[in-house]
Amino acid sequence: MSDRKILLGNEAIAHGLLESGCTMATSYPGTPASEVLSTLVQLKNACGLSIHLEWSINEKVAYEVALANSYMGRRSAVVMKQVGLNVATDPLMSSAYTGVRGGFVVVSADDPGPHSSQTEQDSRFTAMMAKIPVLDPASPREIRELVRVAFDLSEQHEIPVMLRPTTRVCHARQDMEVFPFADRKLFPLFEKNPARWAATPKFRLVLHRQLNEKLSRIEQDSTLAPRLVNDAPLRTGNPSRSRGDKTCVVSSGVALSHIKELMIELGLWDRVPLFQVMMPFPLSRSFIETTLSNYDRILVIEETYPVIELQLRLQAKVFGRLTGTVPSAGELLPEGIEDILRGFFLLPESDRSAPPDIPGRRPTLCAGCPHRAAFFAIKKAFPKGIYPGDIGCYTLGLNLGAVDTVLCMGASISHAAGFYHAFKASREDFPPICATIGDSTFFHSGVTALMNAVVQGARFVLVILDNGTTAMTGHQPTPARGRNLDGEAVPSLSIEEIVKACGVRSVVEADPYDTERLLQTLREAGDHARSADGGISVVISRRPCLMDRNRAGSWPKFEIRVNEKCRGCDFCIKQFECPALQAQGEKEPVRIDRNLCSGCGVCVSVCPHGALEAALSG
Amino acid sequence: MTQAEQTFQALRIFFTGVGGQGTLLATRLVGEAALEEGLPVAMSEIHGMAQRGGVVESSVVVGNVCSPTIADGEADIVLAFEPLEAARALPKCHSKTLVISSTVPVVPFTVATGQAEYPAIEDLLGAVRSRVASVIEVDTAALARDAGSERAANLVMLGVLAGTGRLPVSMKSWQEALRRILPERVQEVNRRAFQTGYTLGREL
Repeated sequence: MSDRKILLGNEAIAHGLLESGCTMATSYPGTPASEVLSTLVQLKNACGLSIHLEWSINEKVAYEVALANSYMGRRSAVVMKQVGLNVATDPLMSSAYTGVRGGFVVVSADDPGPHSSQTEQDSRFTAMMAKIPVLDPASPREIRELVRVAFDLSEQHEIPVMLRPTTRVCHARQDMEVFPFADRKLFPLFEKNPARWAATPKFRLVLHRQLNEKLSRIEQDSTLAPRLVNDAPLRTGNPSRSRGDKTCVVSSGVALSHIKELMIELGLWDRVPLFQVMMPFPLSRSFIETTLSNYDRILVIEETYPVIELQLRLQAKVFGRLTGTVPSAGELLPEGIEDILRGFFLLPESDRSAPPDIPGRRPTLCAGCPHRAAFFAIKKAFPKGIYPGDIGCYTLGLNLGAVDTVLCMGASISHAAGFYHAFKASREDFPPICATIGDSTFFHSGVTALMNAVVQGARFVLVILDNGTTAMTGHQPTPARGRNLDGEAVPSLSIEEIVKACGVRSVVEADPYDTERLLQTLREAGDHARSADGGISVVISRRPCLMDRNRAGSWPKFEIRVNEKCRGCDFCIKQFECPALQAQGEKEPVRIDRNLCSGCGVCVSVCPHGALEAALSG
Repeated sequence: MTQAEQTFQALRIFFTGVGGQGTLLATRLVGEAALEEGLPVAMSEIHGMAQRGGVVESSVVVGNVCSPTIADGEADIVLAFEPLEAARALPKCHSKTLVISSTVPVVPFTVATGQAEYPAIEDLLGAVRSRVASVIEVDTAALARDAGSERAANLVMLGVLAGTGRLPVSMKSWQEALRRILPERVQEVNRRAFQTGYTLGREL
C-alpha cells in the first residue's frame, strides 16, 4: 500500500531511513540538513516506532553514538551539514578502517552558494579522503531511493556510505510515493573482536588493505556505475555532431536536473550523450576507460569541487572546473549551466537582461531579539573593543558592528584568547576583548576552548547569549532542556556550572532587556578581567528566543510611542537596527511598525534624546 | 497520467519576498493545492540565514519537468510580496509573464541608514509593467487588514493567484490544501484573506 505526498528533500531522507529499517539516527542541526531529524521525530511519534533519535551535542559525538549501534548489526544514520562533517572527520576516518556491521549511512549536506555556511566545501572529497563510497542524488525522489541503496551497499561491504545532497535537493519539494515503514526490532548483538573494534596500528594496516579491497569491489558494481540518461532520444535523434568530434556531458547531483532541461531547449538532447554519475567515488573504472576512449571532449558539470573530473585521468580530453570551462566557485544555477553549455557547444550567447540596480537587502535579527539588545550593550560598554563572534543567528551582530570575526563553531573563545596573548606577548596594554557565543554553540565547541583559555591565563569578557534553543536552524533543543526527544526527563546541563567547572571565577547572569543592568554587569566584567586576580569574566545574557514556539513565555509588553523630541537623527536605526523602527526620511521622526514591534521596550534606552516612550500595554 | 496532467505542459511560478512575510508557506500551499488536483509538482526554497529579514525566493514548478529551480526568463508567474522584490525579479520574467505584486514596501536597512534610496513604487512597478504582459497590483496591507490581520497578506496574494485561474486548480483543491496545512488557530483569518484575494483575482 502506498500514498502520494509532497516531501521536502530532507523529509524524503527521513522517509527513506524509516522505510529501510533504520534503528538509530543522530544529528546536530545545521542548514541545509536540519529537517531530517526533526521529521524523524515527528514520524516516530506519529507511528510509534522503536528507533533511537537524538540531537547530539556535536557531530563528532553524533557519529560515534550511531556507529556503536551499527557495530551491533543495526542500521544507523548520522546527519549533518558539510562543516559539521569537519567536526566528525576524526571518527569518520577511523571507522572507514574498522568498517561497520549494520548499514551505516552518513548524510552530509553541502551548501553550494554558499547560502548558509562558511564554505562551499565538497563532502565528496572528504568521502574520497576517508576512502568510503559517496552517493550524489539529483532530486528529493532520488534521494529517498538512494537511502535504501546506501544501506544495502554499506551492509554488503561493511563500510560507511556517504549520502551527499546539496541545498537544492534538501530544500526542494517533490510529490512522490511513500511506503510503510519497516520497524525492525533487531536484537543488539555485540560480537567482541578487538582486532577490529580496538585495532592497534599493526592491525590497522590489515584493515587498510581490507578497505582497499572493499572499494575495489564497490567500484566494479555495475548497478552503481554511471548511466546514459538520454539513451532513447539518441537512438531516434540526429547523430550529426556540432563540430565533428565525439563529445559527451558527465554530471551528478542537482546540476543534472538543470542540464536535462537545458539540453532539450538547446537542441542537444538527441545528439549529445549525457551521463549521470550516481556514485562519484569510487568512480567505475570501466566507465572511466570507455568514456576516455569513446569521446574526444568530455564536459564535466558537478558541484562543488572537481571530484569526478579529477578521476577522469586524461586531462586533455576533460573539460570542467580545472580548465575554467565551469566556474571554480559558486552554485551552478540553470543560467550559469546554460552559459557553460552554449560556450562548450559553440552556440550563440543568450540575451539575458541585466539585474536592475536597486537597493540590496541583508538579513537582520528579528524585532525584539534579545541578541540585538545584548550587542547594543556590548558596544556601549566596550566602545574600542575587539569582538570575536561565532556561528548562529547572532553572527548577524556584524550588522551592528559588534562582531569582528566569525570562523567556525567555538572559535570566538579561542580567538579572544589568541588576541589577548598577542598583546601580552608584545608587552602591550590590551584593548577590551569581548567574545560572543550562543548557548548551543557553547555546548557544541565552546567548552574545550574555554578550558584552554582559562588554563593559559587569558583575560577577556565572554558573553554567552543564552536564548534556550538552537534558533537559526529551527529551534532544536539544547543540552539544557532537561528532556530527551521521547519527552523523558533527563539531567539538564547548567551553563553556569559548566563555566565554573572550566575554572572561570566570575560568572554573572543578566537580562538583555534590562539595558542599564546589563551595561553595569558588562563594565564590572571588563574590570574583573583586568584586575590583579582577574582572568576570564563570563556574562550569561539570558532571554528565550521570541520565535521559539516551544517556550512561548510571556513578558510585560510595552506600547512604544515616538514623542516630539524625535528629530529624525536615526541613531536608533543605525545603532540598533530593529526592523520595527522605520526611518521616514531626513529630519522626520521615526515610525514604529506595530505589526513588527514585539513590545520588548529596549529601544527606549537606546534613544539618546528620550524620544521613545514605553507604556505597559493591556 | 491524470486528465489534468495530459492537458497541461508546465507552469513555473516564482515567489519573492522578505523574510517573515510568509512566502515559504504560500509556496507550500500552492504545491499542496496542485497535488490535490493530481498535478506533478516540484518546489525549491532556501532556509536559514536569509529568512531573518533577507530576500526569500522560492519556486513552484507544476508539470512534468526535472528542475525545480526557475532560470532567468523562465517564470510564467511572479508572485512578489514586496514591490522592490518585484523589480529585482525582473530577470526571471519573459514577455508573457504575469506579475502579481504587493504595493506595500518593506524598507531595507541600507535605505534606512542612508546608504541607498528606495525608488518610487510607481517607478518600480512601471519598470515591471513595461517588460511583461500584465501586472496585478495588490494593496495587501489594506486587504489583509479588512480580512482581520495584516499578517495574512501572504494569503491575500495566494487568493489573487487562485482567482486569476492561471493555475488549473479548483476551489475545492485550494480549500483542501488550506485546511490541511494551515495551523488551526489561524484557519479562519487566513481563509478570509484568501477569499478577499480570490475575489480580486476573479474580477480582473
